[in-house]
Amino acid sequence: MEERLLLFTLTQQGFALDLQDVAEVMEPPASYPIPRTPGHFVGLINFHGALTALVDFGLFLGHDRCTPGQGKVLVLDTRLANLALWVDEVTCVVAGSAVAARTPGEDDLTAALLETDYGTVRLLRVAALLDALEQGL
Amino acid sequence: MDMSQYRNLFLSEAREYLKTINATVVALEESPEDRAGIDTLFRGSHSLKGMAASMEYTDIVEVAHAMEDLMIRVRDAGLPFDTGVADLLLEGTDLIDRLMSEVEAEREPRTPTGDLPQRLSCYPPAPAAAAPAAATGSAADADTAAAETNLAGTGGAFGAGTAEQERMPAQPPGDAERGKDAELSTVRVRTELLDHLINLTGELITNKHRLLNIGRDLGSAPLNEAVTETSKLLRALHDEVMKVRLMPFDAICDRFQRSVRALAKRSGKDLHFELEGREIGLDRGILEGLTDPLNHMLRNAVGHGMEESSERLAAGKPAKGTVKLSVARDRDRVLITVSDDGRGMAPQQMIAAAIRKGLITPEEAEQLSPRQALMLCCIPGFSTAQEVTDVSGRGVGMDAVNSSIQKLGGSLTIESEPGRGTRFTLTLPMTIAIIHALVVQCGAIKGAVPVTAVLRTVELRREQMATVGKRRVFYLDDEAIPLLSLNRVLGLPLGRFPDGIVPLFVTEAKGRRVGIIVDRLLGQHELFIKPLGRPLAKLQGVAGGAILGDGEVVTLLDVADLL
Repeated sequence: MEERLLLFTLTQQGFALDLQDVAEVMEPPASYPIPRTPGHFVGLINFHGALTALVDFGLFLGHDRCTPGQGKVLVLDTRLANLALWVDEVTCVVAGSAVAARTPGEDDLTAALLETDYGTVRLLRVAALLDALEQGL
Repeated sequence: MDMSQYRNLFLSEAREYLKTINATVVALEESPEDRAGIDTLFRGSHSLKGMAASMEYTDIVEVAHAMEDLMIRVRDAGLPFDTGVADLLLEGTDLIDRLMSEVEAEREPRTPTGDLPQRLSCYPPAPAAAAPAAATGSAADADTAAAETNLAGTGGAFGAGTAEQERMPAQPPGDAERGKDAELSTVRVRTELLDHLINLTGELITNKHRLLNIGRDLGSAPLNEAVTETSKLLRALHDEVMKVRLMPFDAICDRFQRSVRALAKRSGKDLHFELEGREIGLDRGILEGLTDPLNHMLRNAVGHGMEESSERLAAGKPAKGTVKLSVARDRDRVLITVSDDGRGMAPQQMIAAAIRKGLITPEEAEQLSPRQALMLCCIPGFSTAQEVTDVSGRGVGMDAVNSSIQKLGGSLTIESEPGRGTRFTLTLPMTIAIIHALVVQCGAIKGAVPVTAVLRTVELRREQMATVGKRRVFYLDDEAIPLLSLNRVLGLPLGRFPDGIVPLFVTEAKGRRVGIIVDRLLGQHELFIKPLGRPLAKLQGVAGGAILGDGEVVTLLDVADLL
């Protein structure tokens, strides 16, 4: 199956996730605070019966907090994790073949830097993201 | 040809045979003349050999074949079933288990069969009148390894023993047919499917509560009646589905046989191990969480509780001690007891040791009842052992045991009489999937505390609070109960109580009662507990979450972990 990428933005920076790693894109849902977690853990959401941690991705990366009621939430495939990322905007889905160039990422979270019609985007490494979130607890 | 489905079937059935062989070996040590047991061992080895041969697992075939040959000599050639035979057979099952693990992991075979097949084949026959047989070094090592890796066994006596054998009449032929009929009436079901059924049942119960709330708001009699009927059906469905999750205690208890057998041998203690209630069903999740705590408690009973024979005789006791593991049901709870008739524990001695180690102050010690003094062994670092052995004595175990039991929603109590023995009682819920919990509010957080961790709730007036030393306390049953703020524990701003009423619940932590202050007590709820998964799976102090009837999500608080 050809690779497909979900592109999204956060504080005007471009990011991408392998579409296979994303279960659903939704409007920010109601969330319920989780004790003893850092500020980027917004709370728990009910994702079709599965308790899912909602993370303010901007805050996690050291940017400003997402504005309540705005943005989009990317819920990861539950086979990977019970995790949802709150981001600014979802741009589109592109085929991997549409990526003009790939260069290695510059940090653990970035699998590669991709040149697309929408600019340079960071392809996220989900495993590294999960490790980083767990280490911060 | 895809052999994976046959491989899984082989592994599943072979493990059942190994379990039966282990259990029968240990039982035969107590009753070596039991013809049925000997036949069972022969049939088990024979079946393992046949199944392994059909899958072309030649190493397993080699070992099973040698075990079968040994049992033929026991069954037909007068070879006594003694400790040597038992040790060799147990070594064989351990080796086959390791070989099967490689098959399961789809690894190239790495574990050599070594000289075990030869030792099985060449085991020397003993005279028919039997003599004590010393365990071979390798078999004793196998048992020691089994003590660490929890392999199976059933009730029997350990320590020194002799083997006698009589011929028993053959089994009636009808038994085989009845066995086949029993097989046809059962099916194997993948655990994922069972878990899915549990999840759906839990979702139905959550939605039932939503419908109840809606019905209450609308005031519709027909709706209320329909929801009431649905509730009854759901209750029946829930009960049946929970039974599916139940597994007999036997699934884990026979591994303790081998563990206690090996420990008794290593520490040179002569003891009898009794098992009761093997057929009692427990939730699968609880069974999984019980193995380590029970293993530790049994190690303590053998290592600390039990005296050597000479000491027992000097005290007027039988030379052979008794360690007992029993399971019983009490309505919706399971009671598991580990008891011994050993030297017992003296509350004053426990208190003195705790003060010496700086775990409690003399002032705190004065407040302790004898029951609470016995629970001091659950404080990290507590041990009255004169020496650390590789069996026990490091003082890191009972606190972990207590914590594990509380995580399962249970509680631990200790009774003991110096010179007479000790009894540890674990009280556990039948299931951990659906629990009753007290929902509390702390700041913006709604948390759920299992009712098994709540001794009582109190609404305290400010004037009922006192200060002892630097601690805020209140008095309950003439006992000064220290007060802790759950808000503070959770890192939240302290609550305010403008009406002067402070809500709290009383729980037990480290052997003492503690009052946990919250902002609000929101009543008891029946909750279907869901795991949090990554990245929150290992979050300290939180054991999962649940969805309330109104759709709100609450976190299940592990109070013992938090404190």
